[in-house]
Amino acid sequence: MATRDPGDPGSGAPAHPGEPREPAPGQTSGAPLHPGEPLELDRDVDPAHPYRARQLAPYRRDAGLHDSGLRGRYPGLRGSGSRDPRVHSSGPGPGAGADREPDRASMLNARIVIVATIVVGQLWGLMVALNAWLDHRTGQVWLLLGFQLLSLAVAVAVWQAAPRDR
Amino acid sequence: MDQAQLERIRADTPVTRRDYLRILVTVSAGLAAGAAGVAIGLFRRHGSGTAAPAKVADRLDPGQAVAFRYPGADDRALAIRLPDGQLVGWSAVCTHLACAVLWRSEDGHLECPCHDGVFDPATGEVVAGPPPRPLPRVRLREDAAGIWAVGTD
Repeated sequence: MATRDPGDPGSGAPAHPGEPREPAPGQTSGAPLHPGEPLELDRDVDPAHPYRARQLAPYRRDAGLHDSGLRGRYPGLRGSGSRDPRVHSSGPGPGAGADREPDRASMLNARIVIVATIVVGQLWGLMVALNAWLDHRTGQVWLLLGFQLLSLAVAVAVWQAAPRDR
Repeated sequence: MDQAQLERIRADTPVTRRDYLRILVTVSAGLAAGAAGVAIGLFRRHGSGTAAPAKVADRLDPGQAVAFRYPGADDRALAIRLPDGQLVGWSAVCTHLACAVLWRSEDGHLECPCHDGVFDPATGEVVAGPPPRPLPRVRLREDAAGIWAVGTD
């Protein structure tokens, strides 16, 4: 966020004693640095106040750094700062961090729960299969192998059954 | 790469719910593969298998037992002459957690000292304790040359 020095900018009163008065509202504060540059783009040095850094426009990425000497991407190079007019504010926009697709998220949770249940069932099935094998009940072992493969197929299907994962 | 860099990498790559789903499916595939391994006999059973007949002892008197290995070198087994004269052979690997099963001639039963599992020496069935299955039988043959282990059930 940009900060301002004390003083009412609209009144034109100087922020500190001895400073020149600020320009009146609506008056541009300097000529464009380069031909074709919009007038509203701030320059690093305000000709009206050459001895102090001026307030930068809020869309400038270095707007909060006007007193730190770290302006722009390459401090010291005039006009080299990030002046992307598409950037209006920094930080997350409205609704950032919130769940924008709750139905999709709940579907994902449900799929995780289903596959976790399948895995628990497979663990049980493997235990039963081991016992059956140790007990020489080979037919039951093959049946349980079929159960395991079917469970895997269902797990893969649930895994893939999504609208479109990122 | 120092510890701080590793922690940054970890912080930048959290496990998402989709990753959990993928991991669960992988575990499911692993369990299915394990079941396939069981079904095709990838894992050995103690006291099971075939081997050439092996001489166990020249003779056994009632109440006596002899320990041997059959059919494999890791398959501990016992041949017991019961007090009634019956000759029996059992795997000496407990079906609970594979401890050694001992012959208690004074009590007349087979005992696993690890968890107090008790087996009937005549049938191999579990009499007490946590073992889930009876002991596998080792078939014995007795002739003039001695006592032989000839197979497993």
